[in-house]
Amino acid sequence: MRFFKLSHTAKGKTGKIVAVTYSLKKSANVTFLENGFSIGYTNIDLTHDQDINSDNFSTKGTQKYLCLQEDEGLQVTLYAGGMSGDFWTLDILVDGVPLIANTIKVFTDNKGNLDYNKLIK
Amino acid sequence: MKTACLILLLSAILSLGAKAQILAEDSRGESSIITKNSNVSFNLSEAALSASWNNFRKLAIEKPLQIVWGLSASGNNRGGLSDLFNGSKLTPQSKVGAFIGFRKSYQTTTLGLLKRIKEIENANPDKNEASINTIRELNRQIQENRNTRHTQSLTTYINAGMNADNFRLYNADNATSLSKRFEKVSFRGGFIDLGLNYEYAPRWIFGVSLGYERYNNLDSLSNTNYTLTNTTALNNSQLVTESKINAYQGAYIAYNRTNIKTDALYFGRVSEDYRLVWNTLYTRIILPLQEQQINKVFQAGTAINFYKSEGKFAGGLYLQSNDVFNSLHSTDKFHERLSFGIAAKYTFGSIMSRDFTN
Repeated sequence: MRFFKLSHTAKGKTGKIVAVTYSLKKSANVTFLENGFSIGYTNIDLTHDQDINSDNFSTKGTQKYLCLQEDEGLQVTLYAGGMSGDFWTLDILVDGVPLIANTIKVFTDNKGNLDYNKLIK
Repeated sequence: MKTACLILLLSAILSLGAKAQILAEDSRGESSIITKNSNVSFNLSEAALSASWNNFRKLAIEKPLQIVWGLSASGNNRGGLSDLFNGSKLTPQSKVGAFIGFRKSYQTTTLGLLKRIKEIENANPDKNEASINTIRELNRQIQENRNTRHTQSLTTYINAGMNADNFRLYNADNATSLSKRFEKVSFRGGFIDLGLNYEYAPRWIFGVSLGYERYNNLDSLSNTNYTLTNTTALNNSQLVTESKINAYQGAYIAYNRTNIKTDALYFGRVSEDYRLVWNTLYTRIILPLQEQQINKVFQAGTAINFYKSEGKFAGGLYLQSNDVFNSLHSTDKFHERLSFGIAAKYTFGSIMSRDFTN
């Protein structure tokens, strides 16, 4: 429970605080923008969460992020770049339960971006 | 063979912490693009093997400016794969090098806005109205920026190292002994390259490098297999033994040259599972500084690799003209100056990530 600091954009939002774990995997050419990943208005520390395999990122052991889950869902924002055919996948567990939206998969668009900014359940 | 074994062992050790990437290189396994190298590659027609160790894992997280560095080693047999099967002695050629460079991201606007948001949040833990409004405006600018700009980056690097050849040179004149007739030559050269890589996602990466190199003309010497026969009298019998000697013939010189390399990689999606990277046109311009003895050469080619979307394996083809303008006057027929081959790449970093599922 090391990380608990909601973004200013959470101001005025209503919901409940949940414990989130995740697993993020990418193909070789994808790059994630620094400070560009948040779940439920909590910034995710990708540098800390990078696995031995540099294409994988995840919470380790008992590590969890405390996030705000609104009635409409969990706000997930991720900014990334890559080459044609590249993609990333994301699995999120809320209080140990996988989201219905799992597995989220995003491919490179025609600008070379793999951005995601949605409320999901 | 020892060289190849040592490099294979070295590559297995060095690749443990490295990142897997795929690249379409020339027939010698070389490229002016440094940040998309696979860890270990095998070129089946040139019997080439290369390995690299670098900090590319840090590039998984984009920052405005990042240092990139790496070490690389490569080895190949001059005679290609055929010599591995006919029992002749190999002519090992090896190269070790190191590079350092800077990668500048052109996502600086978005990166700057994201950093600014973090700074405002850290400075205003009370979430006052002014900071909330500022962050809302910064987020709007990020969305606008992402909808209009391509992902781009520019890498500037210096790459330097040493190369070596070990072979026997046939001396017809003044050779009083077998060892003088087949002189053992150990060539040690060096190189330094300055290069630029420009990435314009999602399709293109362009590379150009300018280099200075100490090299030799081994490529232009003829490689010959000799049979040495020894006869020993044993009472009324004769014992005959034969041994093979592989040597090069011709006027051997070591010289200095400048190299200019260009590459243009195109990335495409073939199907749900397969991707391609096509080096649409690469050029290698070799300008010797002793032009009276060595001709300048212009090489050009195209190479294509196919790989699984996870990047676990790549296989491909290359087609190269080793002398586009017939500077060496080897043959007037253009198609006879073409070479083609098959390349296969195994990326250890990817093999380690077998758990990756779509």
